[in-house]
Amino acid sequence: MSEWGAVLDRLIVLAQAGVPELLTAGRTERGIRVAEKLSPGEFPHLFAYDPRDSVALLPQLQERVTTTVILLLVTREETQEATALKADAIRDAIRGDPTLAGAVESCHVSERTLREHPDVAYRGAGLLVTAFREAS
Amino acid sequence: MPTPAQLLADAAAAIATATGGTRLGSDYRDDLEKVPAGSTRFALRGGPSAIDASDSNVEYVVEALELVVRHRLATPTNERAYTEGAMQSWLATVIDADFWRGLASAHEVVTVPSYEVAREGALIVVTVRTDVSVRTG
Repeated sequence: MSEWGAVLDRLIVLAQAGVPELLTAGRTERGIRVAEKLSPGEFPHLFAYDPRDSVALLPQLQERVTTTVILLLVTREETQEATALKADAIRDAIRGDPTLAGAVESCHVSERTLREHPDVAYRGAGLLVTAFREAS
Repeated sequence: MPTPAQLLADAAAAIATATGGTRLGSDYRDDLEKVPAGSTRFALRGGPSAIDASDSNVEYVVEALELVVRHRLATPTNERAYTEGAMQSWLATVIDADFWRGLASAHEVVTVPSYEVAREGALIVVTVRTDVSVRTG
C-alpha cells in the first residue's frame, strides 16, 4: 500500500463511518470522475483525490511531510442542509481519528466548502484534509 | 601546560563515554548529517570568554563550552521512554560540575553547568553550557 493510498483509504473509511449511506458499494472511490456520469444509485458519492506532499527539512536531515487530500462529497436532489450535515459528519469522523489509524502523526480538515449551482441537482461538499508526519 | 584545544579534546572524549554518542562531523551545522533512529550524536563548541592573569605568575583562559546532544527517538510517539529513561542518567553526569572539573586539562569550573531540553522532529536536543578555566601559563 502506498503512503497516499493508506491515507486515502482511511479517510474513506472514516467518511463511511460518518455517513453510513456511503457504505453502499460503488459510492466511494479513490480518484475523481464527472458527477453527471454517476448512476442514481451511486449517490451520495465520495471522491478522495489529489493527494499532494510538501516536505520541510528539519535538523539533521529529518523530513516533515505535509500531505493534503481532497474529499468531495456529491449529493443529488438533497437539500443544502442535508449535504452540509453530511459534511459535518465526515469532518467529525476525521476529528475522531486524527492519526488516521497511525498512518500520520496528525490530521485535520483545514478547509471546507459547499458548492451549488442553480441549474443542476447536484451539490458538492469539498473537504481539504491536511496531515502531518515525519519521514526518515 | 594544557591548552583550550586540549580541554575540548578531553571534553569530547569524556562526553562520548558519558552519553554513549559520537561526535557529529560539524559542530556548527545541523543540516549535514542524519542521526539514525535510537542513536545519539553530539556537537561541542568552545571559545575563550576571558583571560585571567590576576596572578602575575600564572594565566588562566576561561573557555565557554556549549555541548549539544541530539538523540533521535527510536519511537517518536514514545518520547518519555527516552526522556524519563536513558537521558536521565547521562544528563545527571554532564550537568555535574565534577564532570568538567575532572577533565585532565581543566583547572576549575567557573560557571556551573546549566541546560535546556527541546524537541526538533524526532530529535531530543539537550544543550549544556558551562565555563571552565585552563591554566595556560
